Amino acid sequence: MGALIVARMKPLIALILIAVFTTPASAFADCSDACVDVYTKDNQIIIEAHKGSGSTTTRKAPVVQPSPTATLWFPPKPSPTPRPYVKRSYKPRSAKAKSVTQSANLSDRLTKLVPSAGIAFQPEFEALTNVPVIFWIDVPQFFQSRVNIIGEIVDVALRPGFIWSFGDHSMWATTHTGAPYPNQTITHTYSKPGTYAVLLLTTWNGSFTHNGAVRAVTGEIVNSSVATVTVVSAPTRFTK
Amino acid sequence: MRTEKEALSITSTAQATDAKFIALVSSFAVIEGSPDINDRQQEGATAVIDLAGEFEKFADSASPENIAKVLGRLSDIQVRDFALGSHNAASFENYWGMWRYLLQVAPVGYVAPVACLFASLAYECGDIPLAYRALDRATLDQPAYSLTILLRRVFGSGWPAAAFAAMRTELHPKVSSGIFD
Repeated sequence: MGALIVARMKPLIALILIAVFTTPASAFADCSDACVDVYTKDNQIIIEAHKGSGSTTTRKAPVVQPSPTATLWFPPKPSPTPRPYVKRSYKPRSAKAKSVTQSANLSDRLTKLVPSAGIAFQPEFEALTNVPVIFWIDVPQFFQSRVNIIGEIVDVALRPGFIWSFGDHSMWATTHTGAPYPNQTITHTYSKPGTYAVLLLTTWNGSFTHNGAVRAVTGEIVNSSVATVTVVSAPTRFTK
Repeated sequence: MRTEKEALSITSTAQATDAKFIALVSSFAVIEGSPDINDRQQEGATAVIDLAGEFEKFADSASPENIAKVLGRLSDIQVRDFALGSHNAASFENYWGMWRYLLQVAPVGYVAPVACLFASLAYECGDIPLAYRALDRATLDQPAYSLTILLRRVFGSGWPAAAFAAMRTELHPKVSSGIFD
């Protein structure tokens, strides 16, 4: 009974073995469809995509064991001169193990830079004490980039955040880029005359979309901009 | 070298509590809004360069008056910003030793600027824990010191040290021209 079951299962086992050895490499992979990651490194956006198991796998085909030595005997043909019969032997056939390289891996890496810009301010020449100076920066409020990497579409969306250091111990954090007059989103009033080093830190962070899934970009990008603002005093004078 | 820096002490020494030294440092403090502020700033910037020269020759045997002058003048934001960009790759080790020494002898109320300067050098050479320790000293001295807040933000974002150095390099000539022109 047991032998019968084994005999019946043989085709099934063979089918499973065939399936295992003929399935594409992606079946073994961690990234069966595609793995996409977006992160920051050295102040750049790195977009990495990978398809496949991650490393090229070389599998040896199963070694076919040689069959037991086959010895064939052919009856001698009748000939006028009788010849002694020859016992012919054939070399056993053995299939050479062929190495099959399954390199169904694809990976690529792209680098993107975020926009950077200088600080602008009004009035440009000799701002006055106790009069607001308007600041702005010419970068987009939203950075969006669509990349096609190994056939995968990745949308990266970043938003900037700004930290202004006005050079007189005052700081201001905002997500607005500011704009020239009459817009007064970012202003600073200096109370003392002098030359002030204005430092702006722009921090970019956001998310990326791949196959409808939104994930955060790991890390953030920080850019700096510097400018100097000269502030002079404006003494009050009364005239007639 | 790295292990050496990890174990580096930046706590204050006895000189930081010496009454005579405290009085000397206070005498060089820059009073905001004083009419001769630009002269004081120029003196402060020159004192930083002079003291670096002294440290190169005599290490921490530099004259207490010059040390006090730099500590006092660093209370001005322009002098501090000038000091932030005054070193380069060649003079890094010398400034490292100088700011560390000044951080250890700085009296209460004068610690924050020099702690920020030392923190920026520590960050540039990759010793992040030491950079944070220096910032902690700055916060303890002046909790709302703006450069400490800014540097914490910068260090926390993992801004590349090279980019930070580039920012300093860009800032330095602007600050210099603001003081000397």
